[in-house]
Amino acid sequence: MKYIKYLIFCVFALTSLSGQAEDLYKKWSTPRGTSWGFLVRTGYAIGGTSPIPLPPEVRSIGTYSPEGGWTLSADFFNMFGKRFGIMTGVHFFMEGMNAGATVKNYKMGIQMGEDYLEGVFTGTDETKTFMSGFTVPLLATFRVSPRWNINIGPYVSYLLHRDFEGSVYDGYLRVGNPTGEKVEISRDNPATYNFDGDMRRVLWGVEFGADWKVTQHFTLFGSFDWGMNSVFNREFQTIDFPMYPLYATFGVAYLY
Amino acid sequence: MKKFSVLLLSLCTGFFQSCISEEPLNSECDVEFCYVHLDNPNTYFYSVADTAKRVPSAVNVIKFYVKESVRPEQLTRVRLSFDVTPGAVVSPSLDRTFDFSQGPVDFTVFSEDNKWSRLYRVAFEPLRFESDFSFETSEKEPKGRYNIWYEQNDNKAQYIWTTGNPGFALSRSSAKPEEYPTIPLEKGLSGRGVKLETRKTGIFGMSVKMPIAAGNLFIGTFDALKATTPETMKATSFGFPFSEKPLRFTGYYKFKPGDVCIDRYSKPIPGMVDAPDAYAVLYRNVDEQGNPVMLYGDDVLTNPNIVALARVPSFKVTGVGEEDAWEYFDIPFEYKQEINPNTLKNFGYSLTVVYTSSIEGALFRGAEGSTLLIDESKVIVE
Repeated sequence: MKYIKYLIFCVFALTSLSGQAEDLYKKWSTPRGTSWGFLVRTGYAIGGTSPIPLPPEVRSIGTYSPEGGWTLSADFFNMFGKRFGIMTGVHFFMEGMNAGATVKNYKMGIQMGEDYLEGVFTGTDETKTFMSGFTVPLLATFRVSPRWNINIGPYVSYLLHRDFEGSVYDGYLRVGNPTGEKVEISRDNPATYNFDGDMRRVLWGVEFGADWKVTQHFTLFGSFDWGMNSVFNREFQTIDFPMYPLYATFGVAYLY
Repeated sequence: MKKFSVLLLSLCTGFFQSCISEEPLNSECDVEFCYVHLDNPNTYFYSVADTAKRVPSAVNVIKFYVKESVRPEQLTRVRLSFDVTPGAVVSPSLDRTFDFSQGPVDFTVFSEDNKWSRLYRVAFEPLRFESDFSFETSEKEPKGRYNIWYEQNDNKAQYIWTTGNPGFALSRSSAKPEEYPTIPLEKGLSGRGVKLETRKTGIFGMSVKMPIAAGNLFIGTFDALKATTPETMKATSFGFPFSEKPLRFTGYYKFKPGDVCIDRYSKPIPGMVDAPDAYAVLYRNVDEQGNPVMLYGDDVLTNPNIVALARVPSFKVTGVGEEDAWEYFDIPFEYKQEINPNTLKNFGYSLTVVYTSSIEGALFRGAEGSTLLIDESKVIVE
């Protein structure tokens, strides 16, 4: 923590000491010279939905690949002074992941109409999750140098499309609890689950981002949305732990 | 951009890998195999192979079938060993002998993480059953989900019968006992009988390509372990040791086929009308090398160790209402080989009897609603 403070101080110090500083800040401010501006962003989204920390039932991550992954955003910002401002906007996103893990004594349940099969599973669990919707962040933006901005703040997301499904195989289920009947589940006949309906519609979290001006109008950016609530609603008991969406976006923006 | 993605991907995966916690201790506490150690096993057992028992996951009473000549006093100092889940602890400890002369002895197995335990009962019993089946005696299984059948001989219950009900329970947890494939028939020919009806297995059954469950009743055991895998035939094993020579297989039935036969992909099979099956098989239960022989779903009618077979060749469609008449079958056993009388006396042959409401039920082909009622069935012996 101390190290980071020192780093930020150095960055500010270096940029303030420069004699050309005022000109550089003016040169790299908004194209029309106003304190406010619009950014239209498009980027590649990558990340995953995961428990934090990884529970001991997860023994290894076998496979991971992102699913979909695109954002299109419109942001409005206003600078109060040279260094500090606020930014908000509407971000449309499509993001998801495919992940395979080896699990041990992993509590799971399969709902099949009125029938329910539950227990603890040991073996391979493959999950595919995908979400699309809108995020509205409210960020404080810090202009740490003429061309660099750091953005931090909370966000709220509303999901239009929610998908969470998977299958278990190459292992066995102990029905009810670890002393229950042992039923092998093979690769040829995997047991599948689908928890779409148990996902929340509204998520919130904290966003961290960085913008770098390449030219007057073009900016490269990276941001990370750290989900603070589980993608599943409170009543959902089948998975024992909360699953948080953690997705990063990298892309370009056009500054008006 | 691609290189960057790959770098990011490996960073992410690396990050998650480093978050993997230590291997948790085992929660399971099963006895997987149980062995009896005796100085002269042949005094106690008909076959040395009987001193080792594989214990299916749903079983907690481990029965060793001993010779009828064995007296309780001979069982006062028995040494046992278990193969248990790695890390599990057995109490009382097995490094002493146990006294089985007063009856069974109980053991508790504690899991490595100490959060779970299972109680096992080890018993030594003679196995003898009369092959005169009236199906009067049945009871609910311990959790009350479905019925199980047993034979009553000399005030002792012999649990020789098994059904596909435990497998059905996995896919249809909400089913009531009377919705299962094998249920008691209150109005049998004489007293109670058995009703075997082919049922749909619901969404889970369909998803593992086992959309129907035939009603069945057979002498043998069921282990759900492989039930949903391609080796599903290994879930059913057939036969118990039998010391009499079968001559004829008889019984009374009523039958009605279901409306539409489907295959394992739930597609209707045009032109197929469902039919039941009933047969009895006598087989040699130890091979030339002394290894135990067991018949499974895939070779119960074809195993080379089969000595004699009686199978009902065809069934009439009688209707299954109370007013419909019972039909009788009487089939002589066809012998493929001579029986060795000494081997027979020493329980070297096993007998199984099988009834099912859908003849291709083991291949998951049949019609929902096919119903076979059975009562007063016998294997007539010499």
